[in-house]
Amino acid sequence: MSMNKLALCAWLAACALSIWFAFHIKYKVQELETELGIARAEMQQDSEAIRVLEAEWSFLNQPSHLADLSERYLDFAPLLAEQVVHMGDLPLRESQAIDSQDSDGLEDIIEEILRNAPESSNEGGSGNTGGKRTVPLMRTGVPQ
Amino acid sequence: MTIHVDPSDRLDGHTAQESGQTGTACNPCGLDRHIDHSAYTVLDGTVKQALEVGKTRLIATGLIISVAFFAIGVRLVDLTLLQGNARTASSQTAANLPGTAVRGDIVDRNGVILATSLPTASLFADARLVPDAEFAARELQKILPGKSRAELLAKLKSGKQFVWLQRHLTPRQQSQINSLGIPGLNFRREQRRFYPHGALTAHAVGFTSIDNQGLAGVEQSFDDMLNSTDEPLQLSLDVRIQHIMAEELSAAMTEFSAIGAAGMVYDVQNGEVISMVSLPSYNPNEAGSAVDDARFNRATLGVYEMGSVFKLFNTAMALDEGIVSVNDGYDTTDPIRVGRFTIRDYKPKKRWLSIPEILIYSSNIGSVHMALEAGTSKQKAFLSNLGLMRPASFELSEIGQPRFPRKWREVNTMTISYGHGISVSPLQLVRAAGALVNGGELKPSSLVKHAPNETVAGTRVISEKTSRQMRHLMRLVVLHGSGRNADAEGFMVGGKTGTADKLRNGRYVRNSRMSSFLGAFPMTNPRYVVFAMVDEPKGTKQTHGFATGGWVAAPVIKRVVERMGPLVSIEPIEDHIADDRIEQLLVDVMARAGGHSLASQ
Repeated sequence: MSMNKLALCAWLAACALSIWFAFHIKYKVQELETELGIARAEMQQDSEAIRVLEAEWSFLNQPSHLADLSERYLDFAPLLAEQVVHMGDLPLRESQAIDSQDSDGLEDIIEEILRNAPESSNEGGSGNTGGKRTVPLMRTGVPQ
Repeated sequence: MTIHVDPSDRLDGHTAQESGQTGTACNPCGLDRHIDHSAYTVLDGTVKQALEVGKTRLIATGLIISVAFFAIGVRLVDLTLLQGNARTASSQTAANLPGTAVRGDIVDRNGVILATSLPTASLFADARLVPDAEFAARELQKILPGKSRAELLAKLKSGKQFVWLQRHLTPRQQSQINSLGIPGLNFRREQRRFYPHGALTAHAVGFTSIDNQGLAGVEQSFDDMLNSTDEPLQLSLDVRIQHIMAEELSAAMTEFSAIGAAGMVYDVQNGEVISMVSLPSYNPNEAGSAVDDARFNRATLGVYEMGSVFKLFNTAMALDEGIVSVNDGYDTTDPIRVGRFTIRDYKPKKRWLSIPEILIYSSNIGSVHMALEAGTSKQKAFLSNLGLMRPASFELSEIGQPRFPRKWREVNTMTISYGHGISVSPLQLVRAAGALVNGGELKPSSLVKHAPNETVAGTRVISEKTSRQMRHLMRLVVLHGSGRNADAEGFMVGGKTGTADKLRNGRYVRNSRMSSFLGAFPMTNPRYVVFAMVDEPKGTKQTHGFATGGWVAAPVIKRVVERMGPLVSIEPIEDHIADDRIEQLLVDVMARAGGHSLASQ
């Protein structure tokens, strides 16, 4: 008899547990669905905002607008054909012209540029990490 | 959600069956009723028997129910554990959220947005619910300046369930209307097409109606595709080059007080249109207010007599058909009389001219001789092969029908040899010119970008040899002839000028002309055909009163090539080496022609 009662108790407990579990799942799912809804709404808002920003970015990048800004704030001018030079056409420094004829000259040129940079702090020129260098790359404001 | 719904469905089904069964078999536990209505007499053991029956029925019912629950359990495990993952994996990402389906963007070849859809709110009214139409109309009119009060009032009093009051509100207007708090006024979320680059790409991109239906340009021709996917449509245009072309053309228009202009840049390798400009242009964001002249696409819809640039095709035909070689030539001393017409040269040389010289000095007489020797049928077949006699196949609906004589008489053959009597669109012209310089293959023209490694099949129209000769001849025109002003240093421009008097009421009008330049670069290995055309330019002091192609359109080409060359990574070369070889051709021709020159004097 006590066996039966024990079984009954066990069943009732199992029943109560499963009911509790079912409701727990149910509320959990509802909660998650609300969260999902919010997340979706946010995603939609964000994607709309991205669309608007992308459109604005494209609008601000109108070539005529950029040309206007470049004219006002930069010293750049359209690249001329004569400004494009082959690496091989660059003259070597006279001191090196003899002893480094078979080197490709690129390293020398870079070193030269770095050495002539206004605030070059050390003599090595390579492996320097500190200090912003102002290497004159393409100043095309006044055609020579 | 399915988890909740499914089992309960099942449960209902089973209990329905159950109750049906137990209903007919009577209440299994209701012994009293059973005994009352049974026909048994109360005997020993009948109670026990009834209990037995009840017990078996109870067991049977229990079994059925437990089977049902077991089935539900199995299904539950199946759904949650076994199939669950597959279902959650298909959950939506930001791109395919329901309710966010938008018309696809249109972008240029570098991904710059040319057309996009922006979310807006539109105001509509349920006129039956608006309590005080007079008040609502008065208040709304203050917020919506574009609407008259009478119009709003009429709509609000219409009694309709749905009536638009204003489409595409600004956010400020929306919040103002919202704060009015008038019942019956509602917003609907809509998409509005926006063109960040405005007039720059208006003719290619086109525009849509207020309901996002494409009405012009690729918006029209790709309407279904744009509405069905939100993948961007990538055009072959490059906004930077488009801008360069538009800027230079409009500068030329201003300088020469012209009424319009058109320009194209065309990739001769795969037929892509890199730039397509038609001026005057319009703002597609306010397409409704644009005038017809601005909406007219001169680059694809307009057909024009192109004048001397046609001499390129005429010469290519004569060379390719073997009618002449570059060493041959014709005596251009005498004008040609046909009926009441006399064909003269614009700047007569009055001597024998070699084939290169005929192009360099743009001799009408020499071109006519060439065409006459080839004959009408060959000329017709050649122009037809170049696609100049049928509308261009292109991804736009604004495509002009070329005009040419229905009865192709000898006099037509003569005038067509120098570009009069046949009208084609600039699009057809650049495509045909592409075939002249790219090795002789006519490629299909395209406004949509091809895949990077896609090779575009073409049809052969002239031999490689003729194509090479044409490249040399075109370069010579720029070095020595009317195209001198187009010589962008380092980029080996070759081409031909054209100046055509405009037809008005069937008569040619002096001082009302089309000045154009059709060129390609770099001539060592042509990559782009460039074309510029200015409509009705007037001469200025700087040009000594001239408004011909060489003075008006050639400088445009020079500046366009100079500016776009570095952008498209074309390496400038020291052209004199390549030019020396080409000039040698002219020297050889002249040396061989020595006898002719003497003979004609």
